[in-house]
Amino acid sequence: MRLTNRTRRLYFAGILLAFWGLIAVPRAVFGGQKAQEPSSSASASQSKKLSERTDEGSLPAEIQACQSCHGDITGSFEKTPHWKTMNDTRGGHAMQGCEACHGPGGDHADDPSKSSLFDFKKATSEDITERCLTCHASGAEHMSASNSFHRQNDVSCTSCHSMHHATTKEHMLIKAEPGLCYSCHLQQKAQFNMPFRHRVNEGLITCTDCHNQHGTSSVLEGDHLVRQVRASASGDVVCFKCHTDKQGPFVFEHEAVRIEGCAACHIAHGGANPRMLKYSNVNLLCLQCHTNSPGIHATVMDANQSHYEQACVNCHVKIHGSNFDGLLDR
Amino acid sequence: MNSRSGMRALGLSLAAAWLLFAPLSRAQESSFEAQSKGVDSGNYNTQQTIEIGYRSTWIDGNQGNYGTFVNLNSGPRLLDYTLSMRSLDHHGSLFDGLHFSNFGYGGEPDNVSRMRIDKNKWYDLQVMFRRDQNFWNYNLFLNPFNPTVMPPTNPATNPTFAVNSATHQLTRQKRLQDYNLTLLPESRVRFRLGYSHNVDVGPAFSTFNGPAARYLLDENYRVTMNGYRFGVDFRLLPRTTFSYDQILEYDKDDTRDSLAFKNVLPMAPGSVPGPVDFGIEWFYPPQGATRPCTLVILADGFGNPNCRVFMGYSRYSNPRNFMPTERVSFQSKYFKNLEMSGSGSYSTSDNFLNTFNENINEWTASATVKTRGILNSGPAEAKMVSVHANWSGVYSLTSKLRIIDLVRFDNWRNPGLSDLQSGTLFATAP
Repeated sequence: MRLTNRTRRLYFAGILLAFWGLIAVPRAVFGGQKAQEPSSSASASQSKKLSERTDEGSLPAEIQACQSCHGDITGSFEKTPHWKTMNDTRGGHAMQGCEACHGPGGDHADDPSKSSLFDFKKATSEDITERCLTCHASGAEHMSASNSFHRQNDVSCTSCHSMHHATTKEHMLIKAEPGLCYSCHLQQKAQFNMPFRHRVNEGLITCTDCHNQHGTSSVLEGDHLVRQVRASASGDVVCFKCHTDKQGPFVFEHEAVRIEGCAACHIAHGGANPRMLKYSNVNLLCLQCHTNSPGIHATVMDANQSHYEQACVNCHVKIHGSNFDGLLDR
Repeated sequence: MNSRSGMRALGLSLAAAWLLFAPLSRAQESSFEAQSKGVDSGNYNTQQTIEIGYRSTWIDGNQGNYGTFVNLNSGPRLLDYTLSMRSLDHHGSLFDGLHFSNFGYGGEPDNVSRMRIDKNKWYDLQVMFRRDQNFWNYNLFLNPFNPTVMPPTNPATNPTFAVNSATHQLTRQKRLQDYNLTLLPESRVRFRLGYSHNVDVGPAFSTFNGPAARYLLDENYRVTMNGYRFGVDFRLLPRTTFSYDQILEYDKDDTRDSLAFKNVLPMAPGSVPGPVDFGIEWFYPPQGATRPCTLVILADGFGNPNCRVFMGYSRYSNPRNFMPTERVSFQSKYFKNLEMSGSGSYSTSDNFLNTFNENINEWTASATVKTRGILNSGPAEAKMVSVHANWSGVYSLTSKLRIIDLVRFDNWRNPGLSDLQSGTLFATAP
């Protein structure tokens, strides 16, 4: 349904007002704007702010020690989720702040030339991953980190995440998706620029909606374990999360869907063929398995496929499975 | 959209944007540095960005192709809006961090809103809303039954009724909502709650393979999924986590199909009560097959009652699928140099239909096919029982050499039953 110009203007005005409210409400609720402190640079301002709190006694001494030389790092650290380590006192200082990741820094503080700290720039990918998993292994996202093909191919956590110089508001990534993934997966980048594709570049979905970059364990079909495809609750591929109507179970299943999965017919990322099929001609795709079609199909398959029986799915419309018809016609 | 009204809308949009956001712009234009730092208000540092614009498109050529591939049309747009709030002392009253982002509102085919709110020790809430407008009318799937040489031999008695859209044209809208809440995210016992609501709805064309011809159907498509998740993580042993998850998924399919009445002709009084649909390929003889009807329009201008025609067709069923899943999983690095993870899940999916109603009102003078009746089937039921288990271990012999072992067990079965009954009423002329 197309909107009229008048309706569209009113609609847009409503959206503007709504978002104006979103801007205004936080100000009204959380107080007026404080005057900005004049500063020569952002890092200097942040360091000053940290210093002020240290004076108030709210900043731990170990961070203060690091701050004296690494002010820019401690300033950005305050804004990251890793600040939460300061709230967790169960592990002691070794599990808090800078030392939680870099290890004990007493020697380094006494003599900066000593490099007893864990240096992420010099460490091997496995050492980096192990260190991060010390805390992060318990999360649902990292539960199968031992299966991660990223990990097995020496792609460490810091290949994608930056603890101190992240460019994204969430997840501390060095670059936002999908550009981050494209930096290695060039073939997939090309696929998402094909005419028929999942709308990853448009931002509707992200690579990590379908893939668990940290490793998976329970996908049934094909090589999806290698591809680190997320699993649905039933152990099928994640496609059914959005394409619920294809999930079934059906009284009459299309075995290819159940056994081989969606990738038996579709190119998941994108392709040149409609419906992201592997072949431009639907019949040719079907004939990959249905080579011995009896009855009328014997004639049809030999006939001119470009007109009358262009697509098997013109009759077999319930190609993903049917509850009523073994021929998947309805 | 004509150009004058488009320019007027553009002007109004720009004026409204200037009036509403001028104060914000002044606040932010002090320096780029200040913009990146945000504004301290109370106990929160706030950063906001907004990007609005007007998309002007002038489409010439095949509208169906443009809609299928691009589907970007004219109008004012909210291109991007983000709001980030961070507690300065990490002890906010309601939350310590908030991130809210949106784009695509105002008419774009893809609209997304994401929000994440967390309070360090207490909760972490993630909300996402996505809407996808999917238009499909691609030429390659244009009605393949249209003749390549048009019109046929005798236009007076056998006119061409081309169906100039894809036989499976659709204007579908997908709305996906996801809510995930983690309670006590940093404690030794952590709770996870989740809810997902997906709706796939919209009109479409479909096709029905009738006894002698194919007919175009209007399909009111509506599939709904509701998913509920509950999970708990136990971190009672050092470097070890045990998790339990309960997942409930409910699927509903309320799609209805009815005859599109695309190629309709009046019928002579007393022959077949009209109007009737002649299907979508009656005028074209398929190679090697029998033509559904050789003479469609009689000399008196009425449709030929000896053709196979549909007077009505409808189809409705309401399958309901319930899929509960229980899953236990663990991850451990309790032993030195040995890292393990594993999971086991049991899922049953029960797709049940009370009834399947298919009403066929077809007439044919054929000696072999005389159908005017109804088909009811049901109940029907299909199940899927799946059991999955896996264990993987990584033993690090040295920093350069690791032994990796992965064991998987997958078992599923797919029992089903259907009680198909059909009845043919009025197997002769009415």
